[in-house]
Amino acid sequence: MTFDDTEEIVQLRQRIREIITTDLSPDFLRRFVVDEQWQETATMFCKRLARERLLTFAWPEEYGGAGASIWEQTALREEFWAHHEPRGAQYMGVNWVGPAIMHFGTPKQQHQHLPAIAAGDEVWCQGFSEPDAGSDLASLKLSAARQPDGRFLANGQKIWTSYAGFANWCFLTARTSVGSRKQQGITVFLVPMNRAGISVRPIDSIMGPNHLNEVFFDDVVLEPEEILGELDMGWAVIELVLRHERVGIARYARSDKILGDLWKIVQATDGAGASELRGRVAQALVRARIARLLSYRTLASSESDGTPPQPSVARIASTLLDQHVAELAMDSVGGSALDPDPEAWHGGWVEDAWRYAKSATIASGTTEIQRLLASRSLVNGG
Amino acid sequence: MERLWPDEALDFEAAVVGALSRLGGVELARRCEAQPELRDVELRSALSELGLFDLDVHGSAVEAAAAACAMLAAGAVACPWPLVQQLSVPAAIRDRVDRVYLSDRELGRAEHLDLGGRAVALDVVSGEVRDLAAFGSAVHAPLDPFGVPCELGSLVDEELNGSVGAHVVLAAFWVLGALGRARDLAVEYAKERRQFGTRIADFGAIQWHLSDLALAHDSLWELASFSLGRMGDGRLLPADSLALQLTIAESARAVMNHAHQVLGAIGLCEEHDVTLLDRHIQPLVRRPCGASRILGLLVDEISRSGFDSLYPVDATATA
Repeated sequence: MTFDDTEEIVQLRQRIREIITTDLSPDFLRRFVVDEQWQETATMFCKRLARERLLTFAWPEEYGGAGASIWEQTALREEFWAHHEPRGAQYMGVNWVGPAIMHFGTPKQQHQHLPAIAAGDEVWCQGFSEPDAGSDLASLKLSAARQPDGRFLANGQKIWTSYAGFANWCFLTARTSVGSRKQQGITVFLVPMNRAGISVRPIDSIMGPNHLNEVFFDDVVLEPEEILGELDMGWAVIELVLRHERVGIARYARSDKILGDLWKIVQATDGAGASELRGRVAQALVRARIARLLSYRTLASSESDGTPPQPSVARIASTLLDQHVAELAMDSVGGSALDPDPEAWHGGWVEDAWRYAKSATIASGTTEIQRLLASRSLVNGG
Repeated sequence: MERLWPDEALDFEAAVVGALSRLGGVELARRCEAQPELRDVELRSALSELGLFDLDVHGSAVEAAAAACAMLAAGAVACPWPLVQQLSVPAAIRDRVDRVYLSDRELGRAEHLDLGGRAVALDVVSGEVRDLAAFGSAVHAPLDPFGVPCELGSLVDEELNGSVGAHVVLAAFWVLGALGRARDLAVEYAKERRQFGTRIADFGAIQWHLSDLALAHDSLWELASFSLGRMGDGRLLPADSLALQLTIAESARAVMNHAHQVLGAIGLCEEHDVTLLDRHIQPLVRRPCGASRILGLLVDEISRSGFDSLYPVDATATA
């Protein structure tokens, strides 16, 4: 039984860290800002990755990927997330939009989108959540009504849509009919964001501007050939996407990196409370190791039989760790942590990490839903 | 990354489960708690026949895995025998030392010390090895059912390299055996027990207890498996052992508390296995020191030697 990286993965990590150090400024690596300049840097970075065949590292070679193993992909995810996800919005296209198009797309859709994603030319946003359909995604209401000419007319609203302001394409879920179950009658469309009738309104949030958006669809014309998969059968596409998202972000990797910095800070701290802080950081280091191991368990099961087991326990561990470490960082640095100036002490990353971590237990399935799934898995098996 | 358990280890676990089951399972622990002399009569030969006493955790990876699997089986029924202490003794000195107990400057009681044989205490900080002798007769205590008052003797010249790590890893799997059984009992009850016309497993509050229980159990499982792998490679560092020891304490507290809460009053009764398992794991969880002290030792160790992670903590670096 061994849990260590192979020599190939050790070398891969070194290669990625070198690219990150070479191509990104320390300023970029300290903060998770989403603005045009940040997006431009991310785009350039993705093009570099594309040239090195690291952007679509996990994809099969026939689609321009490198056919990387699940553990190589994991090392990539860890390194990027630990360094503030320099792929920007591209991770969505690479991680689940591309694979969904490979699985459900027509040859024309595959030809149109896969090379563009592999080259780092397309940014996608996820048109899933709506004001009345969050965790209960199947209750979505945005309608795409079929017209006499065979096209569809979309009306409705999406919300909490990350990167919508920068995206070229939307992976849109819409209701095309009403079935006996709410999962029936949903269709997925691949829609260009410059289509007439689509408007984006950024929502300022505690994470900063542009993380969250509302997207409005007013009489937006959708073409039949933009359907991914079958009409009214979009839930199957969504399930595949959610399976790709199930492992979740490698949040523990950034927590691990922050804790390394925190240890240096608390080691240099003395006086009242210093000893307690060191204890809390040590305890968090153990939690980070456990969160990583739990995530590896999910991946290992997925590798052995192709079916990811219930991954909720790993996700709960990772998201709670994210917030715990962010709070610990704020506590360790004290009042000076509130200064967001990159030139300030610790580069302002502490307050940035704290604000961003607020979303950890909400995004991509709330902790409440994860707990429900973990419990169901125990009670019902599987 | 290789995470599969060797078939031989799983087969051995099944053999231990079978043997302990034939002896009465948890009922054996109840009988022995009431009549401690039954341990020698009913258990010693059965465990010996299984080959349990011959396992060398520092031998092959398969043997180490088999020992961990045996601990799971023993912990699940609170097997009243000091297997952790016995298998932590390096094979090379088993002709002179029968059991090793961890101490932290002192040790007031030790489990099953009245079974005879030579016992030594290994200090987790200084590494000193001392003879350990019973001091008076066993006095039953609910949370230390087989504890015997003891005193540290003179320093002895025995090499116990790797025994702290082995002790902690074996204890982790023993406790996991008990926690896994407590989890199963809580889940079974949540599925069967009906209140307000529905099974309690359908209530959100119960579901939260079960998910937090699963998180605590699985956390210890993963860290124990990781530590077992490192022990097999000879790379289990003192900080790794302390991290595992800390997690034993935290997971045991969390799993047992959630299990009790799901089970309600029935889980508090002596006739219920969860109460017995909760009581019987306490010596392995609490000795040689509590979670706060372990954390303090971990801080000292990280300051001295760092901590391995994706971005390893450098002991000497400061901001």
